[in-house]
Amino acid sequence: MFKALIGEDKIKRVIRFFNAIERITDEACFWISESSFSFRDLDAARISMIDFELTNEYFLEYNFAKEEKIPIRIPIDKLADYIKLCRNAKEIEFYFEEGDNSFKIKSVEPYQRTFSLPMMINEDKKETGVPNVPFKATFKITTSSFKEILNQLKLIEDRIIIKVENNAVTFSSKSEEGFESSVLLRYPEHIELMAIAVEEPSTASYNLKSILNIVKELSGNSGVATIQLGTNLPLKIDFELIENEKFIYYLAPRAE
Amino acid sequence: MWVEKYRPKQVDEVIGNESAKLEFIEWVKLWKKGKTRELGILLVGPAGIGKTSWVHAFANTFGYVVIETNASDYRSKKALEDRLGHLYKASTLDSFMGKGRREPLLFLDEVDGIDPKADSGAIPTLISIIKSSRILTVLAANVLDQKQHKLLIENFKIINFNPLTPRQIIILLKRILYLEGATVENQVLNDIAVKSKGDARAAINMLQAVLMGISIGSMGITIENLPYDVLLKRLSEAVDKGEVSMLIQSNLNYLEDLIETISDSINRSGLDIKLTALLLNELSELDMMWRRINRERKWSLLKYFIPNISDFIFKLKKYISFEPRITEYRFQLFIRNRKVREQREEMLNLLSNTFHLSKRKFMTEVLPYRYNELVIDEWRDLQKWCSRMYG
Repeated sequence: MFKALIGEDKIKRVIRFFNAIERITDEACFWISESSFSFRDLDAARISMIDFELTNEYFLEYNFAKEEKIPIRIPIDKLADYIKLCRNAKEIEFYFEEGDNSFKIKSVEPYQRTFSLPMMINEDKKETGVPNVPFKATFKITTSSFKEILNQLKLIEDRIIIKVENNAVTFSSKSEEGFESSVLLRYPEHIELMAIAVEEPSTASYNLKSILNIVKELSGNSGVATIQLGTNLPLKIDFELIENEKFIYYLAPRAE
Repeated sequence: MWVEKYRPKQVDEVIGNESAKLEFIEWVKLWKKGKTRELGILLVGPAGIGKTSWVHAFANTFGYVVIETNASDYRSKKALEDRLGHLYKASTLDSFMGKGRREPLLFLDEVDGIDPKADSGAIPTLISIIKSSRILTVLAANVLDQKQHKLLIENFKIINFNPLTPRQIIILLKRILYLEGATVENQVLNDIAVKSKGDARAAINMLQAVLMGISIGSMGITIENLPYDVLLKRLSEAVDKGEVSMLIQSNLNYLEDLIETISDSINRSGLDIKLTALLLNELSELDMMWRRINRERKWSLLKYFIPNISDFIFKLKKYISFEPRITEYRFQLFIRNRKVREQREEMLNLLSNTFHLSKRKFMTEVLPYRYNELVIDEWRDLQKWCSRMYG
């Protein structure tokens, strides 16, 4: 009924995507359709969201026999663990048959491994919409520098304040005990900041660890991320990826 | 399911528990002004009487977005920290998804399922998350143990929800009948009102079943916490997988006994040896999964496990009947008396020394099969038996 074959060059990328999804949920509800394998959901606290999609062309082989898309619920932590073991395989196959209540993984070479995970077809699940946010500022940054900045600021407090104005972005963190740190990037002096567009100066604070968890995983797949925000508005991180991949992360602002 | 279809959307659609509902609203008013000592509300009352429905209706009416989590999914300190640790006031993505700017309401059901010993640190973590998030929090529990749930009782405003009266159940059912454009005799409504014992969920399910042609007389009062023999009988008579699944889900405390009864029934069924092996193999996998869920306290896996075991039981009904009897090797569970337990311990000490086996090995691998020989009225007889048999 469903079969998707991932090629050698993409296995590690898929592992990183699944690791990132695992950061927001224990159980992932993936949508399978003729055209894509996707995930779009909020975390339990409803403060963050991942919008992820791999189109059918991404796979070496992709078959799904139904016209309507179906939501399948699987424990993502185990899925991530299992395919991590197959990271050096030549191919990984995801498959299940009609009426199955398990999601199967098979890898070939260096030797054949198979895994089976409990799966539930979640018919009541409704598709989650995307936040509709009137973002006021956009900038493009290399993921490696962004990760470094986050790592620096996490030493202060689990909260990052992002301020965007004219041609500069300031990332800062401040603790109640008086510790403080910040990073200023100016365009075009600092090459890490690749582009900036400001409709109106914006400042918002977000949970730092939540962003870092995602950026850490995705920096292996993407070199550049486009970040959008607004004063007291959510943060949107759109990672630049290879063809047929999509990964967007949303995070609600902290209200201080 | 009508239970979902007719879940109340607004507070005025929730029937019963008027004073509790008023108390709830009054407390939230005070909380918003920062005049409460407690961190949140703890709703206490048996299953099916409208606690969850009330919270959702309240949120809809007063503009909150419910962040609903079942405490049985996140019972450990780490799971709670990972999944709810980032909650902070007035910022969920829902506010930006066309639902208007609404404040979050954290609703944690089944908090009585958190075991202060096995899930140590979970309740203090939960309290610290709620303190730092400063969002409106409602917990729900079926029963509270004064000692085990002391921290919850001290930190939360307890509001008791009571079972609905038969009159309230009839009003609820009449409303549903009106909306469905259906009718049933008053006597049937009265019977459901009495049989449901104030459980609105059970009453709605019964009404739906009656309209599907099932006689009210054949229905049990409730499917939760059934006596073990009744559970086995109901499983044997279940007409579809859904019914098996509901029975299992509502009686999880018997799962271990059930697995052993099924294993015993398969062994005694006289089925073809290959089929017996296949069935036992499948059962052992389910058993292993259940024990892992228990050991690692991964309750979120239950939603995968229950459909699997329900499918298995439903399939098994074709081949065997479940005998409602206690299996031989479960006898130790029934030894509850302290004196008897001590005697058993002493007996095991002697026997394990005599046979050079560990007590555990003796208990699990030898005793079950030699029980009839070993259960002797007087302890001295056992000592004599040991010295006679093995010097």
